[in-house]
Amino acid sequence: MSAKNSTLKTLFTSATGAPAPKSLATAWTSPVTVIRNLDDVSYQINVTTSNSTGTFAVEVSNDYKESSPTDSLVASGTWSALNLSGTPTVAAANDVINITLTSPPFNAVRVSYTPTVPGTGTAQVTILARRAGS
Amino acid sequence: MSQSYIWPAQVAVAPIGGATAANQVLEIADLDAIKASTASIDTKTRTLDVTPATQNITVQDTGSTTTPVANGQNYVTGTPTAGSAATFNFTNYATVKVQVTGTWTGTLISEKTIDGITWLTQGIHQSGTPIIVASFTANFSGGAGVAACTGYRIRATGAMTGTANVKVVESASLNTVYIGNAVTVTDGANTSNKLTIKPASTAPLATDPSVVVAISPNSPTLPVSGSVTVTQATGTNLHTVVDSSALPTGAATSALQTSGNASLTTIAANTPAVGQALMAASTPVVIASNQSAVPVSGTVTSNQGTANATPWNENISQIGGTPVLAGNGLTGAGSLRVTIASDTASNSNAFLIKQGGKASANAPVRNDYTSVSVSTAAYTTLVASLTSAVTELEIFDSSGQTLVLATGAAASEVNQVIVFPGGNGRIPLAIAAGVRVSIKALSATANVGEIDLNFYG
Repeated sequence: MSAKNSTLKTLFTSATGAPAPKSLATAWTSPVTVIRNLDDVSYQINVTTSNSTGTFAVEVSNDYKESSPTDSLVASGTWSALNLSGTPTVAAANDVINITLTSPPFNAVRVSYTPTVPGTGTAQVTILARRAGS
Repeated sequence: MSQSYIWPAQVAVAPIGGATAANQVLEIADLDAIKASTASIDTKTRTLDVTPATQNITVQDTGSTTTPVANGQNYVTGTPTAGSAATFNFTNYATVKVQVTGTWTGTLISEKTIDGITWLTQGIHQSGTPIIVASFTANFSGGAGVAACTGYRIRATGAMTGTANVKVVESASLNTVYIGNAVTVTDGANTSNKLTIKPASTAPLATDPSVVVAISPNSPTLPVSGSVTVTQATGTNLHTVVDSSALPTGAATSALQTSGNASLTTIAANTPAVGQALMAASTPVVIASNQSAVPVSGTVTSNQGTANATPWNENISQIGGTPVLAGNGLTGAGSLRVTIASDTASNSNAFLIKQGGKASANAPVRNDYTSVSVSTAAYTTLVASLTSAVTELEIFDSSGQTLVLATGAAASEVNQVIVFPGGNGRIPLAIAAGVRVSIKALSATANVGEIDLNFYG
């Protein structure tokens, strides 16, 4: 299958494109990934902390819109959290969190974080979205 | 750590009795808890007994400090002197078996610790004995309970010579089980009845609970002290049999009693009846050669024997305890008074009476009235003190006056005889030796003539 049927992307990067983990001291939402034409999505969240606590959520939207081919934002959309099989949490310890979405029938998807104890931790989110069979 | 989540969060319809994710989560949590709590058990199941290396003790510990605490317990703290203790640290073991060998002298103490800092005395049950002690002066072997402890040691508390080799085996198995609290034995039907144990010196009370016991028929003979009262219920149920072996040496026997009775019968037959009897019916007796005087009361009649045939010829030397005077001689206490019978016939023989002369008893006295007159007012001493007793006086007086002769001390004169004018001649007058003799005029003062006295004894 062609590589064009999958998207593998590190979501938090610096201006130069180098990975730049996001602080867990405040709430945030990750960059949006449009998955309209893709079948399976998985997030890998690498948590590095010894004192931060909080929760992650996967949010989806169908009215999020980007213009093609520039991918510039047209509509920020309305977002709601998916009901996962559990609540991914940060428990003041390093962790790797995997979230698998099987055939999400949504246009766009993102990860959100809500801190409980800010701490000094960071997290890096990597998404793989692919078409079935690729 | 890692977390995995899926979407959609499928709720599988499990078959009846089938496993579910929720149950698996719970099971996983339980298994994790069991795993955590059985980690040490797992270790123990692999190694029940541990035998650390033998340690030697050669010196006395002078580095530890002993502090008395509650109820006679002592806390031992500090670092023991090097070579004075064999210390074994461990966790999760219940028993320590210890064996001390070697050639040594001194005192070794068994101790355990909960925190590795404070050590407590721990008694050792010596194997094969009922003895549980913590202090030893010779080699020993036994076991001690060390559950909940973190260490065990043997420590020398006295001066040491030689080397004590201490070998220890740490085990998870239990040693001797100790019952720490007093054991109470109660009546199963009434638990308020409890067995009372008292020292033998404490008298039992009527209120003390009693234990019903049965004396084994195999019990040895039980000695009984004090007084025992035996009651004969019937006339034939109590018999006493004493054989010869039970009698002490010299005890009375039936045979001896029979012999004794025979002797008593003979004595009775030969003993006369009480009272006076004829000689033939009397028991002969012999007066002891040293018989003390036997007082005789009443009238004693003594016969001369054949009348007049053998007159008493006993010589009588005393009458009334006074020697009898016999023969010629002066009269005295032993002289017998004789009364001439009133019908004594006259004696035609010449009866000679020798009249002895009177001896001079004192020096004669002459007083010249012209030199020493004698008045009627006072006595004049003639003799201050007679040298001998006088029985007769011879008096001549030429004063022509009547005087009185007196005896006695001055101012205590006692008149004896009146001296006639011219004198009295010889007159009987007894005067004792040492007496004063004096005269006093009665008619008028005698101042002429003289008075002369002769004294006769």
